[in-house]
Amino acid sequence: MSSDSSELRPLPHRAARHASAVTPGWATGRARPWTGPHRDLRLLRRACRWQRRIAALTALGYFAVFLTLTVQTPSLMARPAPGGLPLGLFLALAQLPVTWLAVILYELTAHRLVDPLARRVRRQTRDAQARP
Amino acid sequence: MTDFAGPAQSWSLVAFCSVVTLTLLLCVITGPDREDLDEFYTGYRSLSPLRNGLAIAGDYISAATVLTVGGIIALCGYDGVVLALSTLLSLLLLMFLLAEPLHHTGRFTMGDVLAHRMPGRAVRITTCAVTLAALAPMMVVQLAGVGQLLAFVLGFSGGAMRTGCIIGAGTLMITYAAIGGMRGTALIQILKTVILLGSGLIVAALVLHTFGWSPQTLFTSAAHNSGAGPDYLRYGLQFTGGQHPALDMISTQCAIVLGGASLPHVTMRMYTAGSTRQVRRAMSWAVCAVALFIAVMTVITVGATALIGAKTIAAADPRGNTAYLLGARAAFGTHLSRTEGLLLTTVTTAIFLTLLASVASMTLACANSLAHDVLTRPGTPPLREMARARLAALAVGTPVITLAVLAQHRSLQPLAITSFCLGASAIAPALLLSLFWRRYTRAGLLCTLIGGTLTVLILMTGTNLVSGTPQSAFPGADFNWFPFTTTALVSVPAGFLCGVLGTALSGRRTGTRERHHYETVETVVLTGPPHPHNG
Repeated sequence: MSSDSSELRPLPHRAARHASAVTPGWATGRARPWTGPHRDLRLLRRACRWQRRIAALTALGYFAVFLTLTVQTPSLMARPAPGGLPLGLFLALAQLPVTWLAVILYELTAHRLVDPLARRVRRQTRDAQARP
Repeated sequence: MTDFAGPAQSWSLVAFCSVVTLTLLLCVITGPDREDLDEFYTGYRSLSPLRNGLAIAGDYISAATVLTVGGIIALCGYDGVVLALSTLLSLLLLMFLLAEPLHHTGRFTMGDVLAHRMPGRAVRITTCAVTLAALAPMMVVQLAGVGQLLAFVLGFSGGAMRTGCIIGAGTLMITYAAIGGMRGTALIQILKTVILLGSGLIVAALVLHTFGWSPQTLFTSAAHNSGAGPDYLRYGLQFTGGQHPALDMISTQCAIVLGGASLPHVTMRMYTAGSTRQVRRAMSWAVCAVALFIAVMTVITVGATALIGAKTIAAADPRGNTAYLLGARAAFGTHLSRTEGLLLTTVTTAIFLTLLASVASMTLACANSLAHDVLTRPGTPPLREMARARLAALAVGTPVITLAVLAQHRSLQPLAITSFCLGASAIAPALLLSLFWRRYTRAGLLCTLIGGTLTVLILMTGTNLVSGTPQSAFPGADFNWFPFTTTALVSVPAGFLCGVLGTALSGRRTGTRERHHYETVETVVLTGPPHPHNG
C-alpha cells in the first residue's frame, strides 16, 4: 500500500543540527548500515509493508473478482454450487468464514513477524532519547 | 402478523423507557470523574480488547446498516447480501491498513492524526469541517429513523408524536455525548452489541429451525415469495431502474468498502486502545462480531421474505426498512407466549438502542473534533476544553435535530449515501496518503479533503436518489444529470487525484522536504509514540 521507495533509492543521511560535524561512514552512502537502528527500522518497514499489502490485496482481490464475476457473468454465478444454492450466493456466504480465517492469520503473522521488530525499534528509540 | 399490537406494544414502551433510564444511569456512573482530557476523550485507554472490540462493532453497526441494508436484503436478495459483505470488508480493511497507524499517530481526533505529520491550523479546521460534513447527514438519517421506528413499533401515526420522538431522542444523544464522554458511549455500545447479537442469534436460530436448518430451503422459499423468482438469487434487482446497473453496483460497493470504516466515529475508537497488540485484538473481535451480525441479519431478513412475502414487507415500508423487525415478528408466529413476547421486545429494544447509541457516538465524534481541533489551541486549560466539548455536543446536536424534523418525511437514502461517499472520497484518501505516502504535502492534503468533499457534494445533487425517480428525495423534480446512485465512481478517483495534483503543484523542493520530515514521523507510524500517551 505504501508508495515508499526508499529501499531502492536510499536517501543520503541528513545530520540533525546538534549532531557532530563528522558524518559517519554509513551515512554518506559508502557503506550500508547492516546493523543497528537503521537496519531494524528497515526490516520493520518491510515487514509491515508486506503484511499490509498481502492482507489488504487478498481481501480486496477476492471481493473484486467476486464482484466482476457477478456483474460480467451472471449465468456462471447462477449455476448450482455444492449445497444447492447458486454459485454466486455460495461464494458470497463463504466470505464470512473466510473473514474469520483472515483475521486469525493476520493476528498470527503480526504477532510472529512484526511485533518483535517493532519492540526492538521502540526500545532503540527510547534508548536513543534517554541518552544525552 | 405484521403489526405490533396488544401486549407487545406496552412491553416495548416499558422496555424503551427502562433502556433510556439504564443508559443514562450508565453514562452518569461511568462518565469522567476528574477534569482530565485523556479520560474524557479516550477513557484512559483502559478498556480491555474484547470490550473495545464490541464498542467498535457497536459503532460500526449503525441503525442505517441494520434497517437499510436489512431492507435491501429482504427486497432484493443477492444485491443486499453483497452490500452487507462490502460493509464487512470495509471493517476488515480498516483493521489491515489503518487501525495500527491510526492508533500510533492519533491522540484524540482525526485532526490529531493528520496534524501529526502536517501541523497547522488550516489542516485541523478543514478536517473538522469534513468530519462534520460526513457525519451530520448520517445523524439526520438515524434520528429520523427513530421517529419511524417508534411510530411503527408503538403504533401511532400522528406527525406531532413523531416529531416529539425525534426531539426526545436527539436530546438524549446530546446528553449521552456530553455527560458520558468516550467511556459512557463505549459502554452503551457494548450493551447494544450484546443485546443485538444475543437477540438476533435466537431469532436467526428460530428462522433456520422453521426451514429445517437448510439454507437452501430458506433461500428458495424467499425467492418464491419475493415475487421475483430465481432473479432474487441473482444480481440486478436493486439497480434495475438505472441506466448502467453494473457500474452503479460497483460504484455503490466502492463507496461502502472505502467509506464505511473510515468515518470518524469508527476511527475514533482506535485511539482508545492501550497498545498496538490491544488495538489489533480489539479489531479482531470487532470484525468477528460484525461478521456474525451480518450472518444473523441475512438469515432474519431473508426469513422475513420467505415467511411473509416481499409484498407485505414493501407495504409496511416501501424501502423495507422494517424488514428486520418483521422477520423477528414472523419467526415467533402469530400467537405469542410470554417468553416469545419478551424476546420480541428484546429485538425491538436492541434496534431502539442501536439508533440511540450510534447517534450518540457520531455526536461525540463531531463534538470532540470541534472542541479539540477548532475551538482550542495548545495551552488551553483542560477544564475549559472539556466544557467546550460538552457545549460542542449541544451545538452539533441542535441543528441536526432541526434538520431531522424537517427531513423526516423525505427519502433519506441520499443523505446516508453522501456520508459514505464523503468517507470514501475525502477521508479515506487523506488518511491513506498522509500515513503512507512520503512526498505528500500540506497542499496535497488540503486539496484531497476539500476537492473530494466538493466533488461528492456537487455530484450528489445530480444522482437519481435526489430527483427523477418516484423513490427519490424530490420525486416531483427532475434534475438528474448524473445517472448513478452513488458518486464514488468519479469522486473516489477525484479525491486521490486532488491529493496527487496538490502535491505535484507544491513543488519538488516541498516534496523533498516532506520526504525528509516523514522519516522522523515514520518510526511513530510504525511503532507508536516512544512514551505511551499520557496527558
